[in-house]
Amino acid sequence: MIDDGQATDEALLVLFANGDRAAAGVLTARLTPRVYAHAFRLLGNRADAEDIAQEAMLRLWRIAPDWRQGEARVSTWLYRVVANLCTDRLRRSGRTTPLDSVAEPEDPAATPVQSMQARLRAEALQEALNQLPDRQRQAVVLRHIEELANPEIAEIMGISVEAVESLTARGKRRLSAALIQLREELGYVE
Amino acid sequence: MTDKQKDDARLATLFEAARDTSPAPGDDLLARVMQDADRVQGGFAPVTAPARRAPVSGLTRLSRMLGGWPAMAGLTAAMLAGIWIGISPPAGLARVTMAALGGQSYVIDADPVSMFDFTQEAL
Repeated sequence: MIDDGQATDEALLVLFANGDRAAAGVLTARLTPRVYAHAFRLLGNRADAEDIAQEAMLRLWRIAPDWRQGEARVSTWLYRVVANLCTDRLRRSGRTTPLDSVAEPEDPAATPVQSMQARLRAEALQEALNQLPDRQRQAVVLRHIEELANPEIAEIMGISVEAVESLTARGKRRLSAALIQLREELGYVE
Repeated sequence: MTDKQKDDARLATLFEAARDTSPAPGDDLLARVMQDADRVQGGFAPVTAPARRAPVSGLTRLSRMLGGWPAMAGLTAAMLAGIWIGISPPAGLARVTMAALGGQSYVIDADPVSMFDFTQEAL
């Protein structure tokens, strides 16, 4: 019996490699939403994000028997795989990524107006993110939406911590500039 | 509050909104991911405990070391023949021995009771 709240991703991956199907279920429920959401934020396209999420999880299943414990966190490895897959997808597609609507807010305590505003803000942010250079977008998403620490982002992106700080700072400046026209629409009153 | 601080505060609310409205995967995607997991897991080699070896006696180990039962059969036959020749040496053996040793030989007789060696010059 797997305690899905306690077992680490790595422990579950080892169980999966040893034939435990329940471990696959826990990992799917735990990691697929994160992988899918990250792919969506990098691509801005729901169908592409689904493909990328499935492919990234497939690669995780395949690497399970050869997983070297203690070297990297499973989530860090997955973020890196997603980023690489998204980069390939964007290169191939020439970056024609229509913006799909963002999911409805899940906060049951929010009023319809608050929910609508949160959704508008998320859509506006996604649209602005789509305009950023790939590396800036990735750094901003990992730092400010996934809320990862700079050293982990550096590991995912294969760059130094200073480079991460530089990318996120430039990305935020661009986002602010892109969103300046939408302040009123998004509910920001001066 | 400076302009930069205001920008950061606005962006912070946008990031928060993005987290709150995080796009969730559909059931179809989750089902496909699980199907992949089953398929990949089915291809893994089954994990089995190494088979335990039955305990091996010293005689068996010696037999294996010497080449198994054919070698042991030959060795036993040679040993029995040696014992038989020792108990009842065939007639003419002394002559053959003398010829082989160039005219002089020694018979070494070990008394099995006293374990005293008698050495005498033979013909």
